[in-house]
Amino acid sequence: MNSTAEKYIRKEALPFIFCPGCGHGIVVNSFLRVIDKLGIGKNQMGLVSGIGCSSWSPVYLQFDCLHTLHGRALAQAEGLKAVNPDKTVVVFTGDGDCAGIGGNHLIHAAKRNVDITVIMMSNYIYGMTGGQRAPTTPYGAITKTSPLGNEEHPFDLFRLVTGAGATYYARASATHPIQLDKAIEEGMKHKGFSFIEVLSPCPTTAGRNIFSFKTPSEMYDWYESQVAVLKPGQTEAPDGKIGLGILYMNNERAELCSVQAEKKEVARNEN
Amino acid sequence: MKIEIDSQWCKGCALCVRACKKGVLEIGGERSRGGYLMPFAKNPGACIGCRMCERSCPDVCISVSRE
Repeated sequence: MNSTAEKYIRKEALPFIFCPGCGHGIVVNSFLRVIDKLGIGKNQMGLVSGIGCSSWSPVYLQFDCLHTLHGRALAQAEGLKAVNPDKTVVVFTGDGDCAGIGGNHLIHAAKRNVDITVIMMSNYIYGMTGGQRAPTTPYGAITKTSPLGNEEHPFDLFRLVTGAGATYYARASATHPIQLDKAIEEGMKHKGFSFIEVLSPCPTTAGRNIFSFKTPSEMYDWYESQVAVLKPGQTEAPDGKIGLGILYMNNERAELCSVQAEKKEVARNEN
Repeated sequence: MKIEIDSQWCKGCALCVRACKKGVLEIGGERSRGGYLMPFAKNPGACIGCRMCERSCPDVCISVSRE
């Protein structure tokens, strides 16, 4: 076990529930390096997650953790932040949990611009339940619930989340761990709703059943061929690839908890 | 460089073998506690300490350190 993980992992909970080659483990690995770098103490952070493979991530860490209902991680995180404005709140969620079942919570959390960091691990499928179509599944993809190809178009989460009012949006991939570290670090430093979409390959459900890759390495090679790291200021990747990097950041919009604190102060002075 | 692979938690996904551009690691014949074939440092002299294997390990079981 690497020295950073040694400090933060709950050893009695190991091994990870993730299948061999799952991208979620790489995200946990990266997250641990970032909190170690930022020096966030074990009592200064609350982790929230919903249901799904990705939502198991905070359970293995030595931080306070809320493992909540399917899709309701963001609602719980907003509540946690509202009563503990001095704590860092991080949400681990999957694409089905966040954009599918918790879709309304997502747009409202973004609209309120609460100071929480959301790490959405997108594997384009409902992995834990056997490979059903998720709201992020690409058009035409064959899944267990769309055997003739997905007839729906996926969500454009960048436009959805930033349009709803989020002030930070980054896209990273488990195939590029250095860029992933940077996306998470900047997201945690940012004050406001920070949304990090991580492309996390699922070699078991998506890889074996949909793409018919034999090994995780093959799947990671394919992912690497589909993404391009963006230069600063660029928002569109060339050749129709998926751009990785910080796509949007806005420091102008007021953050909910700080506005509420000001209002409380005003109300107190009036009495 | 010293590359340690935790035989307790390794799941043999071989992403470390893929991540290493210097061809240091290879899947060997030894099995981890879970019964997966584990990688080993076949060519440790070629390691430049970039730690990409450590970063790419989904089970946080690789540790690269200076000897």
